Amino acid sequence: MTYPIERIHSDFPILAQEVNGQPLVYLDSAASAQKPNVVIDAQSDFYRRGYAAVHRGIHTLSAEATSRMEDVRAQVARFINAASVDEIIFVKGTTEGINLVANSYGRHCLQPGDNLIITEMEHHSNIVPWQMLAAEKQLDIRVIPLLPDGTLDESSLPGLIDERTRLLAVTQVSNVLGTVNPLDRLIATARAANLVVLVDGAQGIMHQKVDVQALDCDFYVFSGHKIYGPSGIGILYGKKQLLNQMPPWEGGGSMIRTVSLSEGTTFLEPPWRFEAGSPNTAGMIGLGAALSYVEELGIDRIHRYEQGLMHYAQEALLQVPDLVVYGPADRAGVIAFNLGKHHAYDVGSFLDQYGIAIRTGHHCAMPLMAYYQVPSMCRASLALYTTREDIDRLVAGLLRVKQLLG
Amino acid sequence: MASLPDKEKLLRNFSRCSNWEEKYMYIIELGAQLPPLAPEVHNLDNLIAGCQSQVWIRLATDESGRVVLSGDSDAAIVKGLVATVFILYQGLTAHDIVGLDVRPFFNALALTQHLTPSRSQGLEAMVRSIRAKAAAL
Repeated sequence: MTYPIERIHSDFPILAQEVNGQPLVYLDSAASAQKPNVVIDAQSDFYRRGYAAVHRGIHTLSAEATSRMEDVRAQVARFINAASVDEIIFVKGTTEGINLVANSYGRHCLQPGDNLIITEMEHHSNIVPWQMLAAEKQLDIRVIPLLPDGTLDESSLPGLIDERTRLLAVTQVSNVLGTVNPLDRLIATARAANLVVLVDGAQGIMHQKVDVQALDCDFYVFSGHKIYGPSGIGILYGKKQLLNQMPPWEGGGSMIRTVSLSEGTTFLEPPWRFEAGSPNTAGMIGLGAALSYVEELGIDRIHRYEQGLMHYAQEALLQVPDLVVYGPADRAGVIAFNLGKHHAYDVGSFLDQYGIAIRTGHHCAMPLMAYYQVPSMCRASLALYTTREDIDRLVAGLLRVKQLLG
Repeated sequence: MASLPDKEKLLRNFSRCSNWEEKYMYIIELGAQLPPLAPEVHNLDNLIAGCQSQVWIRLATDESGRVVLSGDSDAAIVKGLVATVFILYQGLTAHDIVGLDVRPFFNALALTQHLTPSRSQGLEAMVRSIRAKAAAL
């Protein structure tokens, strides 16, 4: 069956508008993806007809809202093939998910002198929480280095592990280079040394089927807004036996069993232990609608379409003289590049005027910029609604910028 | 600074640009006219860091009490914006700089999109930084 790109494109109302007098070409989905009508409608319908506080009331609306929230939890569990619905924690996004693990698992289970391993290609949100933890707990952070082709030097991992290594935190897909990391091999090595493994799925979840049991990771984190859902909602998956050992990070309502001013407080079991306060219910409803949208299209079909488009884009970009593309040919979702010596800010500013939205800057990955010795890069990202015309417009825009700036 | 046009000339040249591409090219040209900034001035004290580009601005006063501005950016358009801001402030005293309302000038240039107060970026951040530096002179 052919991929219904025209229908899909029209499911996203924002893509129909003009920006700076030109039809919008949105190539910044890796920063945040646009939302289909079904997501927008699910959220507004919920606010119009279904909204109430959850996990707090016996009245009908509250019970129904609670049930819808828990349905989404079950849907997420199926989507990533978690063994149990109790392994799914609602968070604000990937960043909060990683901070939760660092603050709960990290503070509770790691001891001074322990070390953990990250990689040189991580987004700042998979670096900074660990640095903060390391400073507080006197931990050592070790780094799997990048190779010039934009892949990880995975052969270095065994040498980084010693008897005090406790955790490996690694991204599934580089947010700058699009490198798809060999999680199976990295996790097998980590498992053999009894490391806990956290996978940052922020750039992975929307491009390919994720099966957390097959991956055998302990934690998997992703953001709803990058998989066509609302902003402000995300998922932390954690293996049940680990979650059970972990203390709460934030305290408040909804996460307690009993609270006594003299006897202290006892906590609920996971996942509720980690969900203090009134949650982003509408965000959850929107996330559920987004996952249904992706499931209806089929993630494998999306994967094949995007891979085909990526090959097309890589070929097409060869037409642009002096374009330096970073990272491996085999990539998911994003293409990072610079146009000759021109700063990404300049290239991106011109493209913006042609109605083309790309990301520019250091992409919250300053160590990776340092590796390539550039202050910034341009990044075009592909999504399930990206068309060949979008790519053609990007190429034409870059050729024009090249002509103007030399 | 001698090679940079004054405020009136800048506005005139800007109004002659027939489309935004010419405007951007003109801004880049203005940036290219800034005297090179010595390597030692590219330091943290003078840096206005953003996630998009880097800007360095230094203020000093000459013997007549007027503020002398020098600056640079790694992005050509931003360097042009630095030059534009310098044109606005050239010949003023620190006191004048602190009190000057910059909005009418930038509105006349139709550079409002670069005025967005996003994460210490753009003209807004430069103007804020120059005012703070002028107040401290």
